[in-house]
Amino acid sequence: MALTKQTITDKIEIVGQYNHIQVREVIQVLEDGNVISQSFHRYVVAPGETSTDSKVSAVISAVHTQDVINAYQAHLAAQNT
Amino acid sequence: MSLLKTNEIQNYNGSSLTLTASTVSTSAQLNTGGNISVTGSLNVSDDSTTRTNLGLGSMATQNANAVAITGGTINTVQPATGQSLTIKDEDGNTAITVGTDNTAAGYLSLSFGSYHGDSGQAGSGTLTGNTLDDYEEGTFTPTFANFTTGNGSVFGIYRKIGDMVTIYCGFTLGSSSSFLGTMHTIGGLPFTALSPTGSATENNINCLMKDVSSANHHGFARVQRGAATIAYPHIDSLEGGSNLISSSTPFTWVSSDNMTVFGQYLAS
Repeated sequence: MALTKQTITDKIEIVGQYNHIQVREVIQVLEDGNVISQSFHRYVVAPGETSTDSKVSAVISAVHTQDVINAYQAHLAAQNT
Repeated sequence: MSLLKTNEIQNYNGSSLTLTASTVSTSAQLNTGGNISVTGSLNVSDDSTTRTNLGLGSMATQNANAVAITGGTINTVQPATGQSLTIKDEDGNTAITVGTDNTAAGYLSLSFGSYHGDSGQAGSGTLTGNTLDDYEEGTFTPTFANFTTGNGSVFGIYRKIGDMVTIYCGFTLGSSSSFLGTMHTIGGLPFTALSPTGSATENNINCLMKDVSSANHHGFARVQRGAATIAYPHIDSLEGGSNLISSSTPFTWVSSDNMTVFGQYLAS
């Protein structure tokens, strides 16, 4: 009866005007290869940020162009006090 | 071939009666007060009446494209051990799945976009207002600007119902935790906030800072539009300046002091 844990990136979404990349990970606990428990963990990659996940990095390269990064920075600056 | 006509055949001692033939047939009913034992197959011409007499109902109809469950009640539908139960729509798409108790899938999984809270609205063109199109819960890892967790701890959980996201997160200082400056942002939110057009304001967030040796301090913050960031957690009504959270605001932070953040915002 071996217990193992694995984290899988199971959903990558591109949302909003500035192509935020929403990433959902599923964290699974397995017993002898059978999933006995799982939960979700999320994070968002904003324009200009990086990721250690190769799949997410590929998406970043595709959608976070310099123009998008610049526009997002200007968007944030407009909200700052 | 001879024909025997009689109204009743009874074994001489009243026990079982054995008919030995390649085929035993009757054009009407075959009645017995006891049991009928058939070694071979039992063929009947009136299937429907036979199913009813046997108490099988229409579920027993084989090779039917549509099985109508009529009469009686069904209290339990239970799949075989280790198997999930799936209900599909007319196109074969999974609508409802009841998972097994040893798999990671939710015990009851609804295919969102197809659940309607008010079936009476179906077809009226106002279904959207009664549709639950998403539910999800999980964790996220908040990042507090200019704050080093050290041996302290951070936590973050979320619940998303439709496009409304509820977050609850915070940190507890450890002996090696430290502030490096003003905590101007809290990042790492699980969903990007809606960026409405016009001058709509950001979503308000509440903060509670607990000085374990003294009192609680209440504060505020806001989720930035079109971002996954909480901006400028602060105390008092004025955002900015000395009201922003720092190593000395709203108190001098020490080990075990903690901050919790709670609020809701609309996802993009």
